Amino acid sequence: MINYLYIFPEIIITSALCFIVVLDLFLPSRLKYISYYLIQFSLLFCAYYIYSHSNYLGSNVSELYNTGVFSNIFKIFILLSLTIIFYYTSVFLNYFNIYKTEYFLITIFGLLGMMIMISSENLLLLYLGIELLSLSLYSVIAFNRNSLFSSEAAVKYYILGAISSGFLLFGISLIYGLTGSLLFNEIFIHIASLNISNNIDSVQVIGLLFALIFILISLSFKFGAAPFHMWIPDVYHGSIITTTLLLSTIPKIAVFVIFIKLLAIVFSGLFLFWSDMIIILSVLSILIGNIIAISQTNIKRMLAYSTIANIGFILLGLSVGSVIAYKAAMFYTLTYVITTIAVFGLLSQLVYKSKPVENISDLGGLNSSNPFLAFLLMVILLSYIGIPPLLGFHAKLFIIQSLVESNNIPLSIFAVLMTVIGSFYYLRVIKVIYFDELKDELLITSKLYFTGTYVIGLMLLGLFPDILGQLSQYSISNLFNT
Amino acid sequence: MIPMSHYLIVSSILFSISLAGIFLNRKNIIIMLMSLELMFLSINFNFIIFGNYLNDLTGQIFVFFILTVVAAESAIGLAIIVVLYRNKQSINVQDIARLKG
Repeated sequence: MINYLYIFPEIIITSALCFIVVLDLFLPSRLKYISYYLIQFSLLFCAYYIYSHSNYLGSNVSELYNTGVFSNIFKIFILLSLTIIFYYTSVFLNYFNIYKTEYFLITIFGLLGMMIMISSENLLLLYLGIELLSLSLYSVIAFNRNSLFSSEAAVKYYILGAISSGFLLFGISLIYGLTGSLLFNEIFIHIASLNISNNIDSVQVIGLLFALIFILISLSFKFGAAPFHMWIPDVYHGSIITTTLLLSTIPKIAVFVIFIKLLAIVFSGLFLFWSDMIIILSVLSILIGNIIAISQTNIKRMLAYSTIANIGFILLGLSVGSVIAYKAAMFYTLTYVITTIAVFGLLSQLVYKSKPVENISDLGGLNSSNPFLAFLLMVILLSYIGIPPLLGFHAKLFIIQSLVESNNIPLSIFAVLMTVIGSFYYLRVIKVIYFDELKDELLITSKLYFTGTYVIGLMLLGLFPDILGQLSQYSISNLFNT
Repeated sequence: MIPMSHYLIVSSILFSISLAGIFLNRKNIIIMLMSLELMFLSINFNFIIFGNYLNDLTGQIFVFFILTVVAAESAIGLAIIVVLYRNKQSINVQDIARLKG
C-alpha cells in the first residue's frame, strides 16, 4: 500500500507551482506581486506543514523515500532560506526592472529537485533530483538574457554540469552492475557482506572503488570542491547577484546531505578508501580557495573563492568519519549558508553608478555614508573569518576540535594556518569600507530593516551556538539511528 | 556467446571517446552537445548490459529515465546556445573567454 500523504510537502510545492504558472499568465503586470506573495506563502506553509506533521512524516518506513527527522530539518531549513532569498531577489529585480515571475517558478523546480535529493533512498531518485536541480539552475543563470556574461556563464555551467551528471550516471551504472540494486539499503548490506579488509584485490572491491570515484567526482563538482571548482568563479561572476546568492547557498545544503548519506551510510564500508580522497579534495579546496581569493578585485569572484575554501572546511569535517565530525560538518554547512545569505543579500541591495556592485573598490568609504550598513557588512565578514563571539568561530572550532580528537594534528594545524591566510582578504574589504575615500555614487535599494534584523539574528546565533549545535546533534543522531 | 566484459569495454571506449570529444574540441559548442549525447548513450549501454546480466528490469527502466532527462537537458542546452549566439554572433568555443581572472 503506497501512502501518498508522506510526500505531501512535495505535493504542496508542485500544486502551488502549477497553479501559479497558470495564474501568472492572467495577471496584469501591476498585479504580478500577487503571484510573488502566493509563492512565499506556499513555501512558508510547506515548512509549517513539515514542522507540524513531523511525527507523522517520521513514521514512513518506505525504502525509496525517507521523510525522517534528518530530511525534515534540512527541508525546513531550505524552505526558510529560500523565502529569504526570494525576498532579496524580488527587491533586486524590481529595482532594475527585470522582474519576471518565471524566475521564482524555475527556482521552485530546483527546490523540488533538492527536496527529492534530500529524501531519496534510491540512486534513480537521487539522479532525478540532481537533474531537476541542475536543469533549473542552468536556466536561472541564463535569466539575464541580454548580458553576454550571463549567457557565457550559463554555457560553461551547462557543459560542465552535463559532464558531471554523466560521471554520476557512469558510477551509478557500475554500482548497479556490481550490487544488483539501486536502493541505498541493499547497497549498504552488499558492501557490508563483502569483507573488504580480507580481499582488497577482488574485482568487486576494485569495481566499487571505481564507481565511488566517479560518483565523488560528480558530487564534488556540484559541491565546488577544488580540482572541480573551475566553474564557480565564472558562474558567480557572470550571473546576476541574486542568482549567485541562490547558487552559493541552498544547492550546497542538498549536496551536503547527499555526501553525508552516501559516504557515512551507504559507503561506510569503504571508509578506508574515501577518507583519503576527501582529505585531498578538502586540502586542495582550502589552499586554492584562500590563496587565489587574495588576488581578486571583483567581490563576487572573491566570495566565490571563499566559497571554495569553506567547502574545503566542510569536507575536512566529513573526512574524519566520526559522529562528532559529521555534526561539526553539518554545523559548518548551516553556518556557511546563513552567513552567505547575509553577505550576498546585503550586497544585492547596493547600487554603484546605477549598476549592482561589482568591485571591492566600489564599497570605498561606506562607513562615512552609511555607518549602520558598514557595521552590518563588517559583522558578516568577521563571522566568515571566525572572530570569537560570532557564528563562524564556533563552526571552525568544532571542525578543528573533531580533527584533533581523531589525532589528525597536521591537518588541524593546516586548517588554522589557512584560516589566518583567509582572514586577509576579508579584512581587506573591511579596510576598504572603513578607511578608503568615500564614493558617493553608492546607493541602497531598500530599507535595511530586514537585513539589520537578520544580521542581529546572526550575532545572537553566535552568542548561543547551542541552538545550531543541538539542531545538528539531533539530526545527525537521528540519521544514524534509522 | 559474447562475454560481458566485451560489452563493458565497448561502452567504456564510447565514454572515453565522448570525454575526449568534449575536451579536445576547439571549434563548436554543437559538437560538444553531440559528445554529451554520446556519453549518455554509452551509459545507457552499460545499464542495459547490467540489466540483462542480472535479469533485472531496473536497469532498463533507468535507461528510459536517462533518455527523457537527457532530451530535456539538450533542449535547455540548445536554448542557452541560442541566447549566447544572439549576444555574441558566434558559438565558437574559443570566443567564450570573457570570464577569466
